Amino acid sequence: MRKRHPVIVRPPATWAAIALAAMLFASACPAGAAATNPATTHPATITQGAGEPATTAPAATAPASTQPALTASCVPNANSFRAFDRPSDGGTGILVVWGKPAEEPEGVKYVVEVAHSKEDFQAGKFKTKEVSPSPKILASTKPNYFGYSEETKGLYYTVITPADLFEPAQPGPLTELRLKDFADQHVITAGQLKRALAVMAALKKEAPATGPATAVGSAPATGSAPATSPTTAPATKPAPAAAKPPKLTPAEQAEREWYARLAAYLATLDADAVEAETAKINAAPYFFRLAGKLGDQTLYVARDGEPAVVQAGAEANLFKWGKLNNLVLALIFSAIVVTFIEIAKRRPGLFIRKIGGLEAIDEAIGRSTEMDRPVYFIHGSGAVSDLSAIASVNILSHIAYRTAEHDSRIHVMNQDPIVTAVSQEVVQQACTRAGRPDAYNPDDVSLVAYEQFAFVAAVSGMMVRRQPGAIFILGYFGAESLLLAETGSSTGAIQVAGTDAYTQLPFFITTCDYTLMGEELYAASAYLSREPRLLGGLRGQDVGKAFIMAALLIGTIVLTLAAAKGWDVAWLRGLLKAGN
Amino acid sequence: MILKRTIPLLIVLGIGVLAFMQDYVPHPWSSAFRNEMTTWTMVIGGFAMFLGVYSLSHMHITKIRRKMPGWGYSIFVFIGAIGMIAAYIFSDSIGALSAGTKDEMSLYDWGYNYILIPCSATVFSILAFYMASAAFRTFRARNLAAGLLLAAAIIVMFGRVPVGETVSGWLFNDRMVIPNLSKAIMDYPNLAAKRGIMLGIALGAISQSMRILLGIERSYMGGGD
Repeated sequence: MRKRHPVIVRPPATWAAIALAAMLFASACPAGAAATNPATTHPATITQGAGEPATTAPAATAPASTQPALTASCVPNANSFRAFDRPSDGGTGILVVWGKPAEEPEGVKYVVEVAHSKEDFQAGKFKTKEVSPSPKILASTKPNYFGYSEETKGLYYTVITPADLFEPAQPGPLTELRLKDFADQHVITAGQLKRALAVMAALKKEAPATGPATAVGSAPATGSAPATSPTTAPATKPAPAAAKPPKLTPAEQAEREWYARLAAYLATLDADAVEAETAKINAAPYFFRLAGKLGDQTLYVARDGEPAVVQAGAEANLFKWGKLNNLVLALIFSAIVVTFIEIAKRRPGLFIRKIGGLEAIDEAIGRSTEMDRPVYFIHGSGAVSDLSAIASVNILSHIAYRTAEHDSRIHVMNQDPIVTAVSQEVVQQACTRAGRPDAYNPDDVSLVAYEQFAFVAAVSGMMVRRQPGAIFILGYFGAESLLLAETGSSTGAIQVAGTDAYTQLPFFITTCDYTLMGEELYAASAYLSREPRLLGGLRGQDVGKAFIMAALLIGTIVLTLAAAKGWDVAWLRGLLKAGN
Repeated sequence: MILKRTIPLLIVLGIGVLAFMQDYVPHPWSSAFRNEMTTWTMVIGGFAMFLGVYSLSHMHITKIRRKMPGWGYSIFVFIGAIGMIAAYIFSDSIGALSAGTKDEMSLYDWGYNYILIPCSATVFSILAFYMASAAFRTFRARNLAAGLLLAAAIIVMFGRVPVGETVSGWLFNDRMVIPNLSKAIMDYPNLAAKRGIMLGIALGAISQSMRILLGIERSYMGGGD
């Protein structure tokens, strides 16, 4: 069967002249009149799917004489045009894909039309998104959505976020009417409405005197309403000196502050409502049409003689497939760790390499005891949810136990209140286990300062005044690492540091006697306790490291060979790439 | 035992697994759970702040009462803390320390901007001197490794300052040999070592997390290893 091609309507010169005049007239019209949808203003010639009869729609305007013609070969095949939910998202995006046409004249664009129903297309009630062809919109650039098949190299895609096209209604500024609405919905009480209206009236009265600085609904001069809240007016320059706000009585000022707080609260309700509306818009089903556009010519992708319409809706997904590799690797490592924990339970006495910094702990505590000096334990700035803070607390448990055994004194310095509370509990329990509950003094485990450099100043001062015999600096540190370690070094104490902040490691290595680098900090608790199950975890960690080393080696060899032989190893790169 | 061990460990396991899955589940329920957890953390953190303030005050009051060495400094803790709290409470529009208008600075802001920030900057600036003294101690070519470290440090430092480019131009016929060498040291051996440490940290974190989630590592709960 002979393939029929769509026909572009090419008006004769007279038609072109009329069309030009019409365009000139249209440009002179008010903006509202001109801002209609492309379907009603562009020549709508319809193309068909492969092997289907051509359909031609009347042209409203003529293409420029120098413009190349938009033919069927410039428009995607109807069978390749589809839309579906974007995978791995929270229900915000729809993917529209279409095949790359055989020809792509320079300047061609693809127009995706989005409507709530098929009828809306006829009524012109639709939104459009224009996409310029480029290698960046090829489906092969997004393997987490489209996979690695060859087909993806010939597919274009675009993401449609419905709420970006059909924007939710934004609440206006806080007005008397809206306040009454809030009262009707029982968001505010009648009494609150009365107070708010009184403040609003006062603000309105002042508005001419103070200029735009005090808008109705905005926070009073010294109020604390957020400047970005939807109910507040945009901030403007302060009024000139002559238009200073009138002096208010303390009661009036308090009333205005209350009003600002109320406005801020109502703004959060508005924001919640907009968010809910956005989710609703995104969750609805939509209809899509696709057209090629070149200058004034528009050519629809068609099926059965009509512009092809596809339907799709965004759905909230339960899994981020782009992170599957990450999850699988995490589960493999976890399985290795759990396996070695089980092995260690059956076969205690696993060999673990020596860690100098941890071996030195007893030596440092013993030295402090001999010199009758306290032991200092300095926590990092991490919160209790940070692994480094948990690891430090675990080491603290061992150090406090040893210190109590040696009848020495330990001072624990904290930056975080929750870490302080946990450390107090840990030290108290350690003293009890050592048979010295009386050795625990809550003042020895205290919050020193919440601010980074205030903490440094206080701890440095204490180090210089009390001259500790051993200093343990463990956890996550920032710029304070060198300040603390260098001050400690000047006191002559044995210093053992450990951190997972690799940028601070050089400072600790330079100034401390022993440094636990990264993973050694996490390993410390297991190493010190010698508990078989914990040691099993350490062994599992080492096996995981060997696995990664092997993967790096094999990956390097494969990629080198691929570069030399011209193999396509995009899937291998994708396999190891962090996705989202 | 159930209240002190089993239930807390079950909570750790449950919340830990849910928090772990957060990263893989894009559903709005997942983000709602995260927001809820964040709120809980903030609330608990707020209460913990009281514990921290109590701990801090108790320690310094004891120091002052017993006239322990350096007890005078403890007075400044209270002067600073009470001063800033008072400034904050009374710096609102109806207080005695009111800023007047939005453009004027309240006493609290003044204390923050003109006392705390300069003091912090002063402590931070000491870092430059400490860095010099630490570098002096470290960069002594006592053995081959220390010698290599010294050479690499000189090249990196020299390659990263304008004078390094000038000297490189004189010595190597306008070619940026020293800056390029500096970049090569940072981009290859340094980056390789850094990534090695980062991989170790990541594996250590997985191992530590598994030990905590499975209740094998319990030292953080007190009561022994």
